[in-house]
Amino acid sequence: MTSHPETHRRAATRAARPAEAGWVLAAALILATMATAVTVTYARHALLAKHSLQFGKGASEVDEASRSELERVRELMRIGDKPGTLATGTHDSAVTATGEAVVGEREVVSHGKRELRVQAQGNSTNSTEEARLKASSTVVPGNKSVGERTTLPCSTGDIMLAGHVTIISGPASYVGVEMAGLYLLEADAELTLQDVILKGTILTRNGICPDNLPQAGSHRPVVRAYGGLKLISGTELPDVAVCGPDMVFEAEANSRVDVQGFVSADEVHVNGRGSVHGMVVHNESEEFGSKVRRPGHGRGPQSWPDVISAGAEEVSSLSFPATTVPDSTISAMESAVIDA
Amino acid sequence: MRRTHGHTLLELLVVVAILMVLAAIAMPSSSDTPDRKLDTTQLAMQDALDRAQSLATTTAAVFGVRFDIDDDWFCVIDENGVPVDDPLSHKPYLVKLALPGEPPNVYIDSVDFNGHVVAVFNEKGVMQYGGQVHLRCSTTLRWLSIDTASGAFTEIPVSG
Repeated sequence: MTSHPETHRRAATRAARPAEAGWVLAAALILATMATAVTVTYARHALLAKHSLQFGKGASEVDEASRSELERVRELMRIGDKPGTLATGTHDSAVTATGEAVVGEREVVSHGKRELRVQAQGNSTNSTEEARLKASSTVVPGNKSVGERTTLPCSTGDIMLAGHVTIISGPASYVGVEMAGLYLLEADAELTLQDVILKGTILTRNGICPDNLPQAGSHRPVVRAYGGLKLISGTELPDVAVCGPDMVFEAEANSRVDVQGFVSADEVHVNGRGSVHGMVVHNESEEFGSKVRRPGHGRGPQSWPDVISAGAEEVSSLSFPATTVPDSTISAMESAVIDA
Repeated sequence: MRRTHGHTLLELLVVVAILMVLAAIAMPSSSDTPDRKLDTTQLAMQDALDRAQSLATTTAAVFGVRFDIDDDWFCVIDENGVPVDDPLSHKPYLVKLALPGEPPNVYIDSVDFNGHVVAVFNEKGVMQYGGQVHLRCSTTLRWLSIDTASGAFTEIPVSG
């Protein structure tokens, strides 16, 4: 008796089931593992993204501050800074929004060498980052006594201008030169810069001390830029390129202006090309041409500071007059009827 | 005929796929926690402050952000107390923390800027007075402090 072909096929299927079940179990385990891994990775990333962002931001701030401090240390060494004095210590620090401490530590390695370390210590064990910056320079002892330096009287304490100071009280023009130091513009000063690299800071007396009343109208100091102008904040006032709340800063349409540092002026008009790296504060009006790049400007407008603490060798702070909104105005603002 | 026990590979694949889809749908729902709602409100309030400061800086006039404790809203206003327009929606920059006819998700418990309910920026964009804003979502409290130097909210520990 021969069996029916269908009977043979069913028997074969029954025999194959146990082997297939093993593969199914393995595949299910692999898929479940993959799904778990994807879910955990996604969740971990979502949880840590904000944390890492804040952490990096804090580290970046200190890194930038330390680089600026490095410039100042070089300047201090140039004028004969002794090891173990101001150049040692942890002067730059920040605490991020998520609680990490970020510290820039400066160490005197030898008489002619300083080393900067920026260390960001996270509050979790896996988020420690460290960046190292090294600086070396030959120490040249300064031969200029402190008493010979230019001093400007101020009720908050006399301000001693470090480094090279040029006082301009009328029209002055510089063409095709590289300049450095502090440039103090008096009333009616007209500083014309054409194809110039200026490493330092342009100041007015009102910018240095609020006791000095701001110049008004045609008496305001004016800076005019033609051709190329590269304005880089120096070591005397780190990160401050222009500090003149009563100054007019103009760059003509064919100019190319690159500014690195804080700028404060009564009016700012930059109509040519170029870039402005840093915060710009104006009192009256501000005008930037469409071809002027402002990297970082998208971070939002900054408020007018009461005081700039320069942290430099001699210039301790620059002050700005503050205006107060009367209480009657505030009361009117909060009592107005709003249809919500 | 007896039914053979066990599942085919295809059946298991379908089940795993369905589970993954359900998990993907369920995950975003965890974003509706009180902390997340308070985060969102804090960001919106910071945006309003930034807008007021921006207007004060660029127009050299007084602007502020007014908070309403009774109806739980805040609004960017000019020196006359009139709401300014939102640059995106071109409607008054007024943020209500509740949908019409519904209780708010987040309550403004108290506001104090030197005795005022307005955070004021002078014509140079400097905040006149620092202050505190206390928020509540369900039983979760968040106290925010803002100082004149930074112009940004920082969370302070809730006491009592």
